[in-house]
Amino acid sequence: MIKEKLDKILLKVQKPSRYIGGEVNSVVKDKSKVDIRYAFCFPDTYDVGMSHLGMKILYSLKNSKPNYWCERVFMPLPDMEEQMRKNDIPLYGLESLEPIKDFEFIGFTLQYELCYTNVLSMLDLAGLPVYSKERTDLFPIVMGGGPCVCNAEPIADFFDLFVLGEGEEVNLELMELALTFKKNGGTKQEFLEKAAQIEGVYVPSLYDISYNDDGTISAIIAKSGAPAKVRKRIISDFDSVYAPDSFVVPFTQIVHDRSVVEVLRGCIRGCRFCQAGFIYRPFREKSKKTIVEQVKNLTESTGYDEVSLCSLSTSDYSDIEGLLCDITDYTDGKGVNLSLPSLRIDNFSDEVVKKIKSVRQSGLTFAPEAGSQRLRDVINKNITEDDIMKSCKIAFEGGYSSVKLYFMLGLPTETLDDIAAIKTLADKIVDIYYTVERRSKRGITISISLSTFIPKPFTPFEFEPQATKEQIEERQKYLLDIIRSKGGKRIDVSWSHYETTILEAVLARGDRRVSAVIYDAWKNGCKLDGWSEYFKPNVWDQAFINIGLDKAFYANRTRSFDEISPWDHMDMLFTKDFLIEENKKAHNEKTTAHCREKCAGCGINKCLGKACFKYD
Amino acid sequence: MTENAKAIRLFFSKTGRAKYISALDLTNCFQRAIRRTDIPVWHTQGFNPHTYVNINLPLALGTEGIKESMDLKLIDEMSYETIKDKLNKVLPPDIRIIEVSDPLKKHTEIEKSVYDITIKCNIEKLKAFFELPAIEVEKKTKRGVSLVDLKPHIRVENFEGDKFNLYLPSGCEFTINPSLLFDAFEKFSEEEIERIDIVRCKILCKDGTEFI
Repeated sequence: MIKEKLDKILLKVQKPSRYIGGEVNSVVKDKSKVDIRYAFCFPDTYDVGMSHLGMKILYSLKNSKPNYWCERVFMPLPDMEEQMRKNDIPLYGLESLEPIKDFEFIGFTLQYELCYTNVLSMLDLAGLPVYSKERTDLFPIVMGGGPCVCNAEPIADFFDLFVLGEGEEVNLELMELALTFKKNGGTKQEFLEKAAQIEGVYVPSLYDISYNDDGTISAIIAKSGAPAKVRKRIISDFDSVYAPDSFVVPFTQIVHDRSVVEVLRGCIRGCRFCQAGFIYRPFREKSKKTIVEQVKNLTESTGYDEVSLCSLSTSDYSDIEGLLCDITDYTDGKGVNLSLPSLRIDNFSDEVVKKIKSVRQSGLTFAPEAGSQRLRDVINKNITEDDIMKSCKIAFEGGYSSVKLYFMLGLPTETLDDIAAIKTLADKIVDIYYTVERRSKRGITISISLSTFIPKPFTPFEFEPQATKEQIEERQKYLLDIIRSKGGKRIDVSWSHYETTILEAVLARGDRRVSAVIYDAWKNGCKLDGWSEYFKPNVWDQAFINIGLDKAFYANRTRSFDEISPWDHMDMLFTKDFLIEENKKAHNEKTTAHCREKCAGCGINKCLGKACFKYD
Repeated sequence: MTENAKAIRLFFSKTGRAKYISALDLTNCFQRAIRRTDIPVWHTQGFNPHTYVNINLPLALGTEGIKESMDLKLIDEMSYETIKDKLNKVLPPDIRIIEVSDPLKKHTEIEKSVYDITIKCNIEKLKAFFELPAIEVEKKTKRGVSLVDLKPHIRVENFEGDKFNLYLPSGCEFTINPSLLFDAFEKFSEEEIERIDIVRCKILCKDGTEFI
């Protein structure tokens, strides 16, 4: 049915192969032998979603069970959406080409806040009401997972349940529960109440939120036996956690067209602005043997000629030199490129640097995040100017002639002196370049990329205000002026737009009332907000006015330590006291050592039942 | 070491969902499939060596083919039957290798494509369209847009019900994409074609024999 309709429209849209499935390693099952069908939805385009490792893991995991069938679903671009609506084609799974509204589960992975309107678009395209309370049938269950779930309140009204933390085990437990309901019957309410008893499952309709007159939250009350605090799920035996031995290989080129192997989870660094660095704790590694095995399996099953290692900080792998040697022993013989995003090379031996250099590399990138050492201490970004200079020198000797530097504007305690230090740092890199004798014949180019700091939940900066538009514009202008006044020819500057970042800030720390704003914005045409060509800031502004909420209340206000935050009923397994301590240290410009050096006492080790590291 | 590499020709079908794979993506798809096997293929030499694959006459997007061909080079012995089996194990289900053989003709000898057309539209109007004294369309070439009369280049045979064979020029010198003709028909009939399936069934050389 849908296949025939698709044949009529696919030649009218851009890159049709992303809407038809049939790729190598995509899983097609006999639906008469399947009990539970799961639509894994990535609320962004195929090209973006197909690059995402988490989706590949959960897709393969569910499909490894003979009686479960998981299919992939992405957000169609406007040309395709228009054709689908015109020809009555509901949102379908790429494997079966059947409507997802008939599946038992519709699961969204929520990787960034600006995809929220896409979730509404996709539910609507599927032919379902977007509000959870209007979907009264037992199935489909609409669920969400991924990092945004640590504060899912702004989208709570649209979802039946969320999974907090790592999904490998809890996804299967939910599917098992659905199987018993399918056999024995039951209502959606009964299902949700049972599901809420599974560790890591958050059913938003089982929590009542009340507010004070000033708009802050006065209480969050659990009902129907739901836990007062939802505990994040983690996989404690990480080395043996399920990892796919094949990936679906797209026909069309996607963002990251290569195999990806996860080497570790969590991060030891504790940079105070970084949500990932906290919510993915504790730090766990896979063994070298497991990683090399997975590199081999994926290379052989996909035919990709590039493999990349994935983690928050691959340099922090305990035996990174040994690991790279073991992997290159295999990849070199196969003519496979090893790509190493965000790897620190300052403390590597010459031999390893040579090994990495034999690998094709795109460019040299650093993320000092702040220009001055003082401000880097405030944010606990433990990269020193010395580290940067050492790495640059090694890279320049290897023939590099361009450097990309990432900074944030609007960090807590930031002054104009910190901004000026960005220019000073760039100048020093230029100077180093011309001291290297074996440098490239080209002149050096430095690109500076400025983003705006966004305070996120479950970080020590969750209490901080986001800088206002006026403050950010003043600081951007200040930096541009000093760069253009002297020696700026070799320095390129780019920056993010404030309208996007303030929306992200509101959605990140918003409460349940923000759901109405998202609905209003979507109803009036907002979708694909992460794509500058589709983003409609005026429609969003109007939505805040229509609903009567103030962006500044969520984004630009200092929150006191004892205020109840919208996400207070989520337990990420480390303590709020730890975040408060870290916040105070930030204001005193005091750093915290990384976890391998010294335990910072965040409390996460309780879930492991032992210390995260062996300390002498 | 091109001199030691032996050229072979693979015939394949590209049907169903695979008709939406573009020519460039198809090359990529074959290169990856070959890397999933141990077939001893020749790689291009240079800074970035890659598996040598040449698709002889790429199909237009949305068109199926039941006997398409591509060439590659072997640097070691492997039986044609083994190559076929190994590739069929790792190719997507809608791309199948039918036969592997020695290349007998040069791709520069290709002159025509023969298509099986199944169409749902106003058949009377379609027949009238084919009877027109001239079918002028705008054709994009490297030098810009020019006006071309398709009429002398097309041949329609075996018209039965909603099916017929269509012969169109294809090759290095002059190619007419079927969609060019059917777009012109839609303009002529002032109606949308309800459904059309285009399957290339044969590729013919200048001497009228099949490309092998």
